Amino acid sequence: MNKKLFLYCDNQMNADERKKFEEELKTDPALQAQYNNYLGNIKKLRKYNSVELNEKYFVNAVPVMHGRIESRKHFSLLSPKFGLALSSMTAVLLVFLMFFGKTTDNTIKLEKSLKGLSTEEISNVLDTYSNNESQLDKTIQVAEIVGDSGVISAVGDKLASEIIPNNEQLTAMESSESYEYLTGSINEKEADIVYNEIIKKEFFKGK
Amino acid sequence: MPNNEEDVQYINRFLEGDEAAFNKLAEKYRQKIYWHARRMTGSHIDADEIVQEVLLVLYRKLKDFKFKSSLYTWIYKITSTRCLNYLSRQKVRRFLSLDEPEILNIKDNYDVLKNIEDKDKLAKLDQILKILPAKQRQIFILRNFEEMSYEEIAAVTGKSVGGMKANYFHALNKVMEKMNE
Repeated sequence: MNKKLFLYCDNQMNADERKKFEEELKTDPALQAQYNNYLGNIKKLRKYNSVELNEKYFVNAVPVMHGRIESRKHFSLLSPKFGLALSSMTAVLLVFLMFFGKTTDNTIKLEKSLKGLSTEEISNVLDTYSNNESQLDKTIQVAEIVGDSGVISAVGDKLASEIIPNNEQLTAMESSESYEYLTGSINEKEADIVYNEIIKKEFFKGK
Repeated sequence: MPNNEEDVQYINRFLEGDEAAFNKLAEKYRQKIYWHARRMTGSHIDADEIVQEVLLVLYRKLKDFKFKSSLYTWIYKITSTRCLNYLSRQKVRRFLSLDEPEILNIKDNYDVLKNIEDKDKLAKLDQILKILPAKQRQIFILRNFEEMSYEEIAAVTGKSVGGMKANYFHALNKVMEKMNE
């Protein structure tokens, strides 16, 4: 698309520029064809976009949200579910540390490490290991090792804020939520599976 | 965009404990949230999930809203960020073959569109929008369908107006090329 045509169609020209361009449009058949093509395509786009909705869906949206809030209230900090989620998340972070951290001590014991990490430290570790795009491969490796969709989704979500350079606002806006999301996205059964899978791995058995 | 007087009243009432005021806000914005998410993801199931996430964030974070921007811009900011975040996560999941496209298509049969003609129209729109990288798609949608000014788009995305204009130009070119095929 011609840049001048774009500026004209996108209302980025001042009055004089518009007048001059309109004169050009009248005398240049190729430009006129481009303009007509643009108008036709925009018309088509508008047509594709004009669809009728089933209003019932929207009526249910707010009650569903309130239902979710209620169900999340049961996921309290003191519940066993939270404990399991925290354990599994910590285990995932340990995998990060084992493979990509500066320390190469493969004899680290899971139980000991679980006791040693605070929530804030966990959050910091995640930030450290997801601070550039090249970490994607590493995350995928970890996700494959863990082999759990909930964890993959949670870790991928955290990483996504780094893959997209424009996601600073996500971090700023939802920093307090990222931890909650990470734990909240794993259900009790998933957490159990992940936990069991991880402690079976060779490097946790000590050499 | 200045804050709508009605929105300010609803927010204040909600912060004073009136749950019905939040419901009014949600009713007012849920379709906008849904459509932005739907155009971004091309899927009802995913848009539905994003609507729920955005409403939850609003419910929890409305107390932190400082009226520095309009509620409208703030909601779009949250929705856009969620959509971009979702698309990146989806890329990882697809790479790991956790989400098979066929399965996703079957899931999407449960739709909110009234008739088959509309489904066809939306499918065509999805095909066109899908050629754009996520961030260009975001700008194209905000400019073309939400009819936002560049200043509003810049407020939503946190990027410069100049950058938005350049991105929209590239996006529009790609869309035109696709439609002319």
